[in-house]
Amino acid sequence: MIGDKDIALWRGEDGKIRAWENRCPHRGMRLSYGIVRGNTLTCLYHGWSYDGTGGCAGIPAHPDLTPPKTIRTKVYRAADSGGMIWVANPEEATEVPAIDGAWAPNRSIHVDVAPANIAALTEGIGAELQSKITDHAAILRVPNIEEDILVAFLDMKEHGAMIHTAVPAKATEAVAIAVSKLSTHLRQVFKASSAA
Amino acid sequence: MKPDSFTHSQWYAIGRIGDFEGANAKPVRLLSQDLTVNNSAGVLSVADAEGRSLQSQIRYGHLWTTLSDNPRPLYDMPEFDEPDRRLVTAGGVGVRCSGLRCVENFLDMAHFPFVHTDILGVEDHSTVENYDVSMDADKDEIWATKCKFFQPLASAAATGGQMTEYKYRVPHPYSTILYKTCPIRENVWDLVGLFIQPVEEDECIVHSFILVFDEDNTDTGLLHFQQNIFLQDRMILENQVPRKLPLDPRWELPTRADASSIAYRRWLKANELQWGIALFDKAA
Ligand code: FES
Ligand SMILES: [Fe+2]
Repeated sequence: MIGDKDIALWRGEDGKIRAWENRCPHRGMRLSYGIVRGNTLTCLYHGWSYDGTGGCAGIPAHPDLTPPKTIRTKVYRAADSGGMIWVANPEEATEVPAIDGAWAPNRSIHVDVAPANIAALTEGIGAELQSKITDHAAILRVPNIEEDILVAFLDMKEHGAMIHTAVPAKATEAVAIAVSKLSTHLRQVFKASSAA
Repeated sequence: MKPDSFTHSQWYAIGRIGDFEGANAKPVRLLSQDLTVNNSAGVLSVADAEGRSLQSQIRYGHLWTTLSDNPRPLYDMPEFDEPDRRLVTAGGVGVRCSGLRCVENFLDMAHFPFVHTDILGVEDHSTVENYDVSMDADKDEIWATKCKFFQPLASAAATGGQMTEYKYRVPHPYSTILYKTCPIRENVWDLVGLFIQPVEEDECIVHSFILVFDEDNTDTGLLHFQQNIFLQDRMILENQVPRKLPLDPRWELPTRADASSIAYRRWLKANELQWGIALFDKAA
């Protein structure tokens, strides 16, 4: 989800990540129930298939029909960076965050209430800001953890928020475990009651 | 939203007769209103939240009521009077979407190979041949006829794959009936249908029935077949976005196979039905 928008995320055989509105243009079925074959996504309801750019590529009820170009899913921008998937509204011209180095995803947790901003998240972790990446992501230094960590959060409005962490690819298992424990701690910090 | 006059003026099935046994008043919800069904010595009556009594009638194995003082007559199904037919009713199943979405799903053959795989369709026979859609102007109802589809197991009585011929009828915004070739008798139709109880604009209870010539299968066997199919449909219905039915063409795009759905939406629009309809949201 971005805000209150439901998104279907999928990766084709080509490895490219895609983020689409989670609604088939035909009869509204959630595309997240669809099936990925090669570089197309097939809707579960009537089997309409969509190519990697979101254009309809086939309608099984009429195999001889070339689907009109007007049948398209709503496509969001999507990219991989820093061991995380980044999604943006197509209207927004923001760059994909450039994050140096190789990162390994650590954990994604759900919290009841979104942090107010990255400063609030940094404080919640008890960390020091190393570099801010976006309003929702930063590289932080946490006491007693030997590596910098990458933290990003996603505000899902009334659905709470997700907090994602990544560690440098070269980090030891001990670091990975410590960061994972930190995520659990965050669930306490951003509980519904603390919002009041 | 208050129900529009087309919705308001209809009769609605609210349960099977047997669902209202016992002297206790039973709560029922219809069109966002709380109603009560009372059983006094076997005579059923329906009242609204203020205790005002509503019209009711028993037909097609179900209890029907209406919020209107001057309802449209309930449609006829003469097949219910034919001897030798068996009526099996499934009881109500709650579905979290507009009942209008359920009607549309029921009219739709194109989903058989994908949702009812190896029962009502197979993936390599996915073509929907053109069929006829017509309006019966006198009765104000929709018919889709000459519908043909390859089915590996069309009903509980079928023994193998066959081209099944269908007719669909929509005599009411929340009712639809399928007439399909009887696998064991010539020149007669078996009936399967839905009486939908609209609970909220985006929530309903589906009462389904089967009225067939079938000497071999038990009621339980027929019921299981039908329930299995319906649960597959429910998984789809509860994952369509939005939950109400969109009539605005900017929202959902049909193809030729959807001719019956197109006619249904046009008919709802012509009757100025609004309750249960999703308004177009530019931001969505
Ligand atoms: S709703 Fe997706 S193919 Fe029909
Ligand atoms: Fe179905």
